[in-house]
Amino acid sequence: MSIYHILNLIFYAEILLLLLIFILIVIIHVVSPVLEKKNTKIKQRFSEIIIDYITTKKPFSKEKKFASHPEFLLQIMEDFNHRLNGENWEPLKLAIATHYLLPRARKFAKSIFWPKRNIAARCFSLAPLLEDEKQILLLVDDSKFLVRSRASVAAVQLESENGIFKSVEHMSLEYDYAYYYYSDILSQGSTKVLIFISQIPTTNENPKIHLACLSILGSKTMPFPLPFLQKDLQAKNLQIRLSALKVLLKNPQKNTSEIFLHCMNDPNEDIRSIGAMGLAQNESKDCIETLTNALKDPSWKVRLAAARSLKQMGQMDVLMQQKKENHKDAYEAAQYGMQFE
Amino acid sequence: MIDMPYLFWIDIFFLGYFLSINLIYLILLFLGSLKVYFRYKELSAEDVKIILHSNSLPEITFIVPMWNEEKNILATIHNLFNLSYRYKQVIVVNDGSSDDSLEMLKKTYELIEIPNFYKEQIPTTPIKKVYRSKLRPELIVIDKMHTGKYDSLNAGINVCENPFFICIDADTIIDNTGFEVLVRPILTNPKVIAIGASIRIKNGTTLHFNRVSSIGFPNNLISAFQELEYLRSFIMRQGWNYVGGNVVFSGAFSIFSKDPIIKIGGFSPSIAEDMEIVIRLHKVMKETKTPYETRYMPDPIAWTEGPSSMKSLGKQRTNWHLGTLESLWYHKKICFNLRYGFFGIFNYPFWTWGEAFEPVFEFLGYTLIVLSWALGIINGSFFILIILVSYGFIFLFSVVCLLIEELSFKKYTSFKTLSILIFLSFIENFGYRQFTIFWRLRGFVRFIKTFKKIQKDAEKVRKSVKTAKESIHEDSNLDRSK
Repeated sequence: MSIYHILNLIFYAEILLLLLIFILIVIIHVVSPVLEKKNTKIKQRFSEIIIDYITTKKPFSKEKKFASHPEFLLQIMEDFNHRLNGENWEPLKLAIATHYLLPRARKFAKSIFWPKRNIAARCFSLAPLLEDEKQILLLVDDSKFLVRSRASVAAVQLESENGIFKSVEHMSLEYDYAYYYYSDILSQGSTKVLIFISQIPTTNENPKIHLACLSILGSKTMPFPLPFLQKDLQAKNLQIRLSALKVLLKNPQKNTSEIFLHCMNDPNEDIRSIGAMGLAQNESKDCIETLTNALKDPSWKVRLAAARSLKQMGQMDVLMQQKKENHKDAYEAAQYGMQFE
Repeated sequence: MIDMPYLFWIDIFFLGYFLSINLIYLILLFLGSLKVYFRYKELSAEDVKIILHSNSLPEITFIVPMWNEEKNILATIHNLFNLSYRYKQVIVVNDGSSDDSLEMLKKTYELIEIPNFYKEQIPTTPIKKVYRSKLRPELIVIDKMHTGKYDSLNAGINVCENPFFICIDADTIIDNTGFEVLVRPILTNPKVIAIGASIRIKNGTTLHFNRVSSIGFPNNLISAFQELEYLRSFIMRQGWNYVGGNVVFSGAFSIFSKDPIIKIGGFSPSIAEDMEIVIRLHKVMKETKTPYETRYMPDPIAWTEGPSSMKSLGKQRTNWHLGTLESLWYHKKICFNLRYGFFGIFNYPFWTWGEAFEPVFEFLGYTLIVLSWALGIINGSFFILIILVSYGFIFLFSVVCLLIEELSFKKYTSFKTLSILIFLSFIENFGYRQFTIFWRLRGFVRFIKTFKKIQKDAEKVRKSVKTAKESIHEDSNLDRSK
């Protein structure tokens, strides 16, 4: 066979392939909008049925349509769950999930394909039941983030101590987005969940887990005392000390002002900066004087924190009194604080 | 018929060259389509709303270098502010614009001069002033002398306080939905130091409140051809994900981890600073044996303005090719060096062989075919057949890319657009392709002309690699002692 013949063959093969692809493109382009329209209609119908149940408050009876498209049902349920809570929605959610989603979730929980395990975790996070705890805990340890993160939501809602600890453990090993994602899930947990998290640092020595707990507790004001905090405020590990100070910012204790005043003499600028932020909570003469001095701190971070605190305390006159000729940095920080913070 | 036996070997060489290149492209296309498929599957499993509802996500910094961008800059900033991801900081670096861009920003966003209290971690030309917006405090504007995009990016990095930053061109618009779904994959792996995403041509798209609302088709033929090129090239880049990592991330939209960039001394004075920094990152990480990953996401996320005249397109392509040659020359040590793993054995040599030298071989190939036909070595029908087979391959390649697009992101919703794209992928071989070869050859000539300067810059880059290695070694020693 000569080169000419080979080239001829290649050319014909190319034409054939091109024709096939053209036909495929045309089919996809025609079929996909039709399919999309059909799917949208099904989803709309599902939404209507659910809205009907919510508004009429009638008890849930089996809906055959739900069983035919469980994947759409899951999406719709998740959308509703983002927007609704309360006594009308919760029982309905549980009823629908028990009938159509949880049996599927139990089937998929041990699948070797992660998209199926993802569906299982999403179903469990919608309506976690105590009887499914074992499977939820299995999914909490999944290798795929999209599975384990959703399973953690279920574990936190279930208030499973094992699940909460595992989630904190995962959080301590995660990075950036995933770290904050876990922090969000855990900090939105019930008081029981938060109390359990506050107990972890007293029993667990791992500094990463310790830091994760502090990060969760520092994200909001806790309705209970945090006895372990005193020890952490003296910790040698700088990160733990910083995180403990952040928790203290949100959860003032007995001697908070003294601790923050003490921070202002620390060689580390981050500690001094948190100290300056914390002093905003006490309008004593000592605090105002320390903050005024902090406007001349060598670190910009501290100067800005001090300016912001003074502004928060309503001490605008202190900021306005700063003159460029006396101390340029203090003047700039005061100006910056007045304009932006 | 003239008998020239050496021509047989020349033919074999060219055949071997083009077969090897096309085979690799085919493999990359296959791998790229796999990546698109997996990503598409992943997208259907994710509830993106959680990202938007979250109260404690990390802040992301956008660095926008700006030089005479009065037409685009306000729309670009508005677009960034309109992104539904809440935690962001926008740093615009005015690279000595001579038009009204800075004045427009001052007026629109009520910029107030603030003290320059940012640490200069990467040396840059002196900063004239730093501003912050009264209306949008998350907007910071740096005003500096005109030195080039690389220096502006470095100035922006010095001001950036977040672990990740996104380099974005002042004429680029980000797709909101695309960005929402990109947040998780870019921020969950500590090893990832650089991420790229698919970029498309903005010309022809309709913006509604500075968001991409409909994707039309460029009314200009030159922009339309680029649409096709972008589509092809970004699917190829998905393929590179599986074989040693990408060599280039688009300067119009790329995400970097700040620490490694500071350690390697920031962007260098190259025309293709986006390519050079990626090669340097690979080099330093491999030499210091630091575990790392670079990723290219298939999601079409940004829409950038493509040149709309032959003159500007020619200038862009010449610069791109010159930049490619410069970057490869700076790091020539990588070529066939086992120390750099697969990147050194395959990626770098392929970029030299299949990309940098491609216009030269393609030009010589055309010359040889025409010469052989003129000398009567091949007859007319054979000549036409060779041309048809090679153009048929490129056409097929483009059409497969369009098919992948149709099966995944479906950004071309109208049938008319799709038909025009298919038609253009056929006719681009007759004229447009030859022009691009000419422009890239011009880049080659410029490389030779400016070689002395390039050598000097190469020395600077080598020094920065050395400093980076020392800094990383110091850090790892410190970690060990802890």
